[in-house]
Amino acid sequence: MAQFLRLTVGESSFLLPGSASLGIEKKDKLLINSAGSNVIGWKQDGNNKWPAYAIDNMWNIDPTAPWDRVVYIPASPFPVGIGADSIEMLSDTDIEPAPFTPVGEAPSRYGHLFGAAWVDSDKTYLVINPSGVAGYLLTIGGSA
Amino acid sequence: MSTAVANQSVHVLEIPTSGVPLILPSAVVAEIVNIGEIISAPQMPSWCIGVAGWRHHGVSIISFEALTGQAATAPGSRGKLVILFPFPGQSRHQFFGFVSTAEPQPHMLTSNEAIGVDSPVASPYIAAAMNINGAIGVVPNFDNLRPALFPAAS
Repeated sequence: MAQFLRLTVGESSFLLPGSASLGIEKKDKLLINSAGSNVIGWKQDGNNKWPAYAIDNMWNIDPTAPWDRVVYIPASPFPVGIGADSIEMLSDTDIEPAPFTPVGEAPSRYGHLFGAAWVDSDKTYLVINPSGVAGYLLTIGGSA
Repeated sequence: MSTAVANQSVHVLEIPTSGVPLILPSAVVAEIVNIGEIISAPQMPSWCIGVAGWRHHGVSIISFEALTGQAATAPGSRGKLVILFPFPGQSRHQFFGFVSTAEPQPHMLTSNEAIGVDSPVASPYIAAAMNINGAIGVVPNFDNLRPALFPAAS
């Protein structure tokens, strides 16, 4: 059974396939950006710096949105991080999302932000589409 | 221009909304359910009010009023969600739903009972308007609705 991370942003929670996570970083482990761009900080990886972005619960990139953790997901040319209030690995192995297609146009040419949904009793979670989110963050957020 | 419905019976549902009622062929409706949790729909159009969980599926809930430029209000305690089957040829998970402000009402229409009238709302998402028992309702234009909801698949 696949494992999932739960990202909490404000009052909203989203799932990320565990296989898409390159690691979770706490705020004090990042180089914080004080220059005022959309990038909230970077993870130093050798000579590379992996950018991270904070979002609000509607996934608008907002460097002023509160965050405490960042999860990095694969992207080209370098991984990108999603800032969230909390990020936790779910121990529930019975999570079986069903395909879900958001309505309307995708927010970037990399596709929709979500590709599945999990309905657990009376709770519904959207499951992050890593490639769509990575492309969206780099396209909309910039890398500087 | 008034157009009489073909001389046959068709079962429809009248969906009350905060604007003009919707008239849907019953065959396109998968289920009518109570309104439970509707989570936010990040980066989706403003006429999508959120995503509801239904039978293990995430279902995008559409405000037809907002889609057609009408004023929309949140449904009250009597509101329902009308879950529609996916469009023909689309993935079997692509259900979507409309909000009903009260219990939808069934009608069996014959050519003697439903006469086409001018739509009170001008929108490319409205195919026709009908006078059913003295009340005017509108029929969605599914040919235009489909690419608006699922542009990549159309």
